[in-house]
Amino acid sequence: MSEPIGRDPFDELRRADPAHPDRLPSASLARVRARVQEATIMQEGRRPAPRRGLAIGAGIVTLAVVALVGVVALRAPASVGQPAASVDAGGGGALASCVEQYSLERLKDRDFAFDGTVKAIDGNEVTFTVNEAFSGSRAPEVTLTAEGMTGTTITSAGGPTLAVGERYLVAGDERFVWPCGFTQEYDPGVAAEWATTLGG
Amino acid sequence: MVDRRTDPADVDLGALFAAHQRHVLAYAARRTTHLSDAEDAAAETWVIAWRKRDVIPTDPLPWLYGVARRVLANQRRGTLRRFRLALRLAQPEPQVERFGDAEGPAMQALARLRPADQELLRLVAWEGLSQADIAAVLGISINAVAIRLHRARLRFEAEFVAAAGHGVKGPAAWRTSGSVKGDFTENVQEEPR
Repeated sequence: MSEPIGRDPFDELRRADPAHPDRLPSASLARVRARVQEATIMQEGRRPAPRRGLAIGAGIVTLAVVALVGVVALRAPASVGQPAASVDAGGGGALASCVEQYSLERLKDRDFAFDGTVKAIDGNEVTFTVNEAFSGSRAPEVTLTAEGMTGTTITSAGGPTLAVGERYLVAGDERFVWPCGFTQEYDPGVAAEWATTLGG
Repeated sequence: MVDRRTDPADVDLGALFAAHQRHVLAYAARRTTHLSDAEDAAAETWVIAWRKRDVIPTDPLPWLYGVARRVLANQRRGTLRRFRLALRLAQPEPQVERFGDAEGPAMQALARLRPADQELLRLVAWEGLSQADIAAVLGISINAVAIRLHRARLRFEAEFVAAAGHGVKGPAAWRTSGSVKGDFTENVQEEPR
């Protein structure tokens, strides 16, 4: 049996698109972002690489600079991860290398932001007791992935290194905690700015 | 020649990332079967973009696709893939969620083509690139793109007819339909049939 109208193969090829940009899993996008943030922070301070064969993958790149990370983390000033409300924090170097710089304006784009106290750390998984939610979920307790901020794997120079019992201002996307100023040690003044900015 | 930025400080990588992260991940996801591979390739592409931010052109997307293309080629050849394959054998990973008709005649026809033909058609049909942009991605001349695309189209049409079977008119019917998006026929002399 033949259809009265012919089928256009290229229209069908377009409709067969297996991964439309608007329908990608948001968790995948968040994971890519987290990996890029981590890798670019690791490479902060190094001169741009000359043209050469490409690295195999982000995972290998990350693992390959583990030895460097410890030195970078030790050198990072204490203020890293505790920026003022302006875009460029006093930490400067490490934050300047972040793919996305912290600012109150960009804080609005994050899925969640809260004042929380670390209750438990298990690898990269951190459970927070939420003291005050500024945006996103209002759950009293939440467990999130904080790659590079738990001191148990690779330490992110974008910091901070989270510790049980300590209080932080935390922001991120999906279930990923963001470094680069989006997560920082608690400061009442900054907390007030977050509350005002996010209307929480 | 592409318009290079004169000052690396002009590159707002965060803005580029926000604008194009979905396109880059989609490019990788269309060419891999495992989500982890696509995410690896996308992340590596952006890391390279960050390292080479002084050469990112003002129209960055073809350049990003070119980087992603080479990353994926390395990924396919690299030991990381073999390592992940071993892991998959022990622990299944989520496949890329497929949209569209993955089993239809269009995909069957595409799968029967040479890799170079597949890539040309994907760049037009899914990434929606012009021939000039394809030339930038592949690092070849626009004229070469036009010639190769024309031949790839003919091969795809033939394979599509074979895969679709009944209900499909001959190639001449849709070639003049005007429904083709993208520069399939730009700068190409039609061959007499």
